[in-house]
Formats: sequence, C-alpha cells, structure tokens
Amino acid sequence: MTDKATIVVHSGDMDKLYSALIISTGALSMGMEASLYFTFWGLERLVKGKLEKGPLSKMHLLGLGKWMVRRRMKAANVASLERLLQDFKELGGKIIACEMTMEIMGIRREDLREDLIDEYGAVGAYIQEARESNITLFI
Amino acid sequence: MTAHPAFHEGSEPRRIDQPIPCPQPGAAEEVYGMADIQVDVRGETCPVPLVETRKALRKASPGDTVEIIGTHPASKKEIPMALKALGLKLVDIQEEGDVWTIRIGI
Repeated sequence: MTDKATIVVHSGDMDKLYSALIISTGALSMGMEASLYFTFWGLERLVKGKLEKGPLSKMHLLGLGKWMVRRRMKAANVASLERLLQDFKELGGKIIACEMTMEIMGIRREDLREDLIDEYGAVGAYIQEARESNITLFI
Repeated sequence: MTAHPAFHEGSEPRRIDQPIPCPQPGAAEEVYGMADIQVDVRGETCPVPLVETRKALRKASPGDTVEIIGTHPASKKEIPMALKALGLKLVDIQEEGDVWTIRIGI
C-alpha cells in the first residue's frame, strides 16, 4: 500500500472544497501522495472561472452567509482556493475528472481547466487510486 | 556565503545571501547565519506554513539548512511531525513571543 490519500470531491460547496484541498495539500506536505477525483457538483468547480463560485454548505442565506464567512476568512488570512489548488499541483497532486459527470452536465474538455487535469476517468480510475491509498474520503 | 541565482520574490521560499539577523545575542548568531533557505510564514494560517515548508524542502539541496519563521500555533507542532514522516532532521525550534523559528537540516 502506498502512503497516499484519495478524495472524491463530490460537493461543489465552497467550504467542502476547502476541506478537500486542505487535507490533500496537507497529505502532500507530509510526504504522502494525493489524488482528487472531481465528480458531480465538485467537477463544476473545475469549469473555467467557477472555482470560487460555490455556495456555503450551510447558512448560505442567498449569498449573505458566504459573504460573511469570506470576510472572516480574509481577516484570518486564509489562502484562496486558487492558491491551494496551485500548491496541490506544485507538490505533485493528481486530479482526475469524472467523464460521466461531463456527459450528464454537458461539460466539454475545453470548458474545464485542462491544464490542471491529469486524467479523465470513471469509477475504475477512482478504485485504482483508492485501492492503493491508506486514506480515502468522500467530500 | 555567496548569492544564489535561484532567488525568489514574494512569499516564495528564497535563498539568502546575508546572514539572518539574530534575535538573541551571543552563540546563537553563528547558528542563525547558517540557513540557506528562509521561509517567512508569519501571519499565515493552516495549511500554508506546512505547505510552504514542503515547497522549500523540495527546492533545498543536501547539506542545506532551511529555516521557517511563523506564528500559526498548530504548525509549530505539525511541521516537526512532517519532518519525522519525511525522515528529515529537526535542528531546533526557538520561540520569542508568538513567533517561532524551526530549523531543518537536509
């Protein structure tokens, strides 16, 4: 078994995307490998210009909740999702995009940030990653 | 110590060609002057100090000393954990008020 973390990024909520990126960059920083499998609402965040556009999973309040949380995050100097994603890639993280989601949602490769995506796959791609991981999460 | 061509701007880990000013007089000065790469993550929060440490360690060469200066309390515990997992040597940890300095041997 490889020292590896594989996370299914199913949610497109801003706060959950933070969890996925913080855990995965943390794993890479501590010497593990890491893979992120983006599917459903999660994959939507890899559409060009959509990374920071996710709602808050709770208390979104038509955007007011998100605005307040973002303000608090800014005050606490929390890194942006974009920065975390760039760090994830720089430290050797792997990103897999779910092809079925692309089909269902009518997302074409050119709609996605192709420069970040290492592989386009289906459940088999996730299982191959997960079976050699000692951490796997569904977020 | 001579200037290194790989000089990075901003929050990027940077090679330094000047000894780092020593916060304490005396014997520690020599130790402080030895760092080859310095990462300043003061004011940064989770996971930035840990991530920037890893980025700096990847850029370091064998024999280098990497120095991380930060204020995030949890990172002071996590960075040594990461070093243990990576099989790297923790040279020392110093604290002055809220600021900690971790020195790593490659």
